[in-house]
Amino acid sequence: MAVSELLNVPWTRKHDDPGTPRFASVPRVVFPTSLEEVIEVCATRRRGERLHAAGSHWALSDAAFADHTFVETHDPNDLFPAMGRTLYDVVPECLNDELIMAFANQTVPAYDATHSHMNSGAYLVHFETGKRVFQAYAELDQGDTDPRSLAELLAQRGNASYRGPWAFQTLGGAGGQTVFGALTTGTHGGDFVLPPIADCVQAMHLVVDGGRHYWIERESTREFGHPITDDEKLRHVYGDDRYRGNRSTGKENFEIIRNDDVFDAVLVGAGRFGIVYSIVVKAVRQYSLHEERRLRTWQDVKALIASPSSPLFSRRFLQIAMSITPFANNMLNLAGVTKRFNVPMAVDPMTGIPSGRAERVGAVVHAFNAGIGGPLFEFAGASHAYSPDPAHPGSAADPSFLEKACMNADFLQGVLQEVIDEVNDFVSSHGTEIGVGLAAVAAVGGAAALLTLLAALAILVLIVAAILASLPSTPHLGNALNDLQNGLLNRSDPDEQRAGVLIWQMIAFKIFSGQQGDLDYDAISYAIMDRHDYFDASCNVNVDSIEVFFDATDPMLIAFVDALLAFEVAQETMGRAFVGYASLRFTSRTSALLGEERFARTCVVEVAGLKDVAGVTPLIDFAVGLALDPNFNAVLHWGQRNDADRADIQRSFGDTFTNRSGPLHVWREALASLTDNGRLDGFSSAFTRATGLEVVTPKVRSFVAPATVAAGTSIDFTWDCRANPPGTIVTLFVSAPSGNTSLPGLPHAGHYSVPATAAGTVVATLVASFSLGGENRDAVRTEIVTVTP
Amino acid sequence: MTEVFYGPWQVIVESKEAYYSQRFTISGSANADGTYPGIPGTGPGDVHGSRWTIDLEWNDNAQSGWQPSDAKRTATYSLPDGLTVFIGADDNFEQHRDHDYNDMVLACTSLDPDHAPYKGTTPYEFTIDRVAWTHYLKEHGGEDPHRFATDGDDSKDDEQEDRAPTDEPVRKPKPRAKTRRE
Repeated sequence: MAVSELLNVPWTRKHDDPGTPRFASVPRVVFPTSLEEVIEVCATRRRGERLHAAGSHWALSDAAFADHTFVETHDPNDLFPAMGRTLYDVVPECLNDELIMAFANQTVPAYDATHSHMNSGAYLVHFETGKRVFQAYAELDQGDTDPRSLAELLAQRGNASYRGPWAFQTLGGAGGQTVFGALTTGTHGGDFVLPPIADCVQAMHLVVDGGRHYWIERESTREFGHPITDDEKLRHVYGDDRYRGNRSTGKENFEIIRNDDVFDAVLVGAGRFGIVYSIVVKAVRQYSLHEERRLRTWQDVKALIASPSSPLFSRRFLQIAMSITPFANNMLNLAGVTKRFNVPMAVDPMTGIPSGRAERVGAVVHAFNAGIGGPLFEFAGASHAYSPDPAHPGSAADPSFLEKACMNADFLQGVLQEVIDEVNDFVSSHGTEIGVGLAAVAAVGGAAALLTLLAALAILVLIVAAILASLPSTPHLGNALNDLQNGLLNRSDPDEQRAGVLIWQMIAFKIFSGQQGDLDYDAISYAIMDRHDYFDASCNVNVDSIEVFFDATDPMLIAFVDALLAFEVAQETMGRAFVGYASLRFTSRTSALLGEERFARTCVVEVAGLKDVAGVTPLIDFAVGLALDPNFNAVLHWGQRNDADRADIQRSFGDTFTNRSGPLHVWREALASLTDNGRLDGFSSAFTRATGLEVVTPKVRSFVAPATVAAGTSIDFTWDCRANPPGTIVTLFVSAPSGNTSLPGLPHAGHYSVPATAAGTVVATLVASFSLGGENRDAVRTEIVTVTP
Repeated sequence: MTEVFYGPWQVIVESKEAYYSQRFTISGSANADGTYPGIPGTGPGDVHGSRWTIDLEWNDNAQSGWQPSDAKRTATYSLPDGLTVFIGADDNFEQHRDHDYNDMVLACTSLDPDHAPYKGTTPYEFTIDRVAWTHYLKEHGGEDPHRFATDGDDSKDDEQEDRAPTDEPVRKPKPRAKTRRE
């Protein structure tokens, strides 16, 4: 079997600069499409070749990079088939009989207009990890109609309530990632009553370096009260010789692990464990949500965040989207507060179809598309975000202002024209005619400073007019905003500089008010949760972005956000400005050991901006510096820009040199158990080494010496330290009556003879040392040999 | 409760509102380990060290001896002052505490330039005179562009969450809520 591959090709991510691939050439990219092929890729790894699985290239993190070979589960260029099939050989074929019985005895409420419960019912689906989120939610929404499905099995047993649409209980804000790529980096939504997406996983099928593969479930049966699968059934399916890899039989190459620690380690594993071929996730009955959004100020809402009982947390979901650019004489910042809650099914009155389904998923175009390994939907991953149309309740509006904006830079046209008109009125009236934008960014004050800027405003409004005229030829929104920034903020004349900042703030106020104005609508779950605009060709490319995770009750959270806002006020006086957004979302604690959602209520601060604009990188660099400062007690998202090093990660997740405990310690133990204590390092990468996501504690498996030898003979030492990371250094120290010997750099397994020249005691110590990121850890074994006369 | 700090900070007793004596102890610093009385305006000043701690204590000056206080952090960040962490002490034995966290308050101001690279920068002033402002309000129906509804004002919206299922699945969008105070 030959796995498709490309050699020496460029490799880049979705959010990188489209004109410059992240890597001009990478040695090898492989495109497996089945379990056999994944096993083959791992079993035939060449010495020194290191692998890393990539999803749909949505991550902004270096965690997505391989040292050498990129294993694509979903080719973003759609040239090779994705590994994205829904599977039926485990669900239902290998399910535990008691679990099936438990399912059969429960009736699942229908998705209809009679109830609005959250998380109704439970259903299991099993799919390959190259399936993208929008594909998965579209398929779930269809219902599991395949004759081999669990729903059909239960229907045959007299319970047809499992037919009908299913859904993810929570999602992140976009659906373009592969499901596993999203969840294994800790991706989350804003459902603060729920843990992140990772916690819906019930089982994983992992292939490790060397080609051995593992079915991994939790030992605890907290979700269903029964194990998910039956061991014998699993071995029958996956012990097949097709899957033997480098072993002589398929049974030897497959193992079932039921262990909470291993499960919670692999769940958020940054790809270090290997390639997760497939996952079983729990879905819930499809549901509709109501979304309400209100325009507030950050200064009004920030005091409410630390209180769990504040009205901010009256629903299931909370997002606070913020304008980094201030208004009201630099004292306030706009904040759009969005909440969501479950409602009865909302439908489009014209069609009777749940609102958002037709627009966000649409009809099935092909029942089975080989490229994606499933049905091809008309609009899944090929539509604007769903926007309600107030004039036609239940149906969608045309693309919103911002969505149109992201298609090209023309959207600024209306905003700039309004600003020009306001400034002209203000100047021509000698400061008496004040428009809404100007009033918003100014404040009442004795000095009446704006009156001193009339001449400068008259000059700058001409510059804005010139930029407005050139918009049609400006390629990207970022370029247009950078032109504005340069024209308005980089002024040598102090009055013009101030006037430029004023106009800049007017523009920002108008844009943000338009984006985050009041809104109320109902729609099907995914149409509300997946807000990504898949036609966006401008706003979400060449992006710098971080997510910083805090305990929502920690006062350093508010200080962190206020620090960014103060930074922006200051940098605007220096000719730079931030273009992008900050948002706060909330989630509950994850069970994943390295999940960033470490607190009962975790707040995630996302800061994202367009790299084309000069003030974006300085502000995000500042935010990263604060996030990594131990005084702030925060962690960065694995899937976004993450500059953390080993010491940062150990401080956040434990297993420091002096305290070898905590989640990272358990995670490393799990990694050790699946990689022969780090010897199998095929999935190590520059990122995992930099962040300490490695086995760091060496082991001496055996060190043997005779208890007694006679003088004049020799002492034979043998040792085995093969189960260690390749960089481990083995040293033998021998202290004998005749003198001391030190033998560094020994092979990881071997033997050595020392002459027993004189009677007495010989103390031999074998030390295995491993260093990572400036920290060295040792394993020591000592043997004492008595040399008799 | 032990409060942990990293790097250089300035520590000063901000206030004391307690009948009992108050003090705090700094440990693990490079330059300022010791016990300091809870006298407003005093303190160790600059404290350096990669990782150091503060412990707060109280004494009823009768029989208690020095006992640990509970502590609570708040934090502020402003352009003029940078990052300041306030540690409030709640004294007395646990069952008698009043949870005011004001028995002694320490103000810890970061001296790390990375925390406040533009500390002290004066923002531009964008002000207009009251006459022009009054004119604006008159022209715009009294709508103040700086004032928005607060989240507690959402109570009428919250009623929707518990609304009973209806036979009519189509719900008209609500009229846009008035977000600005009249």
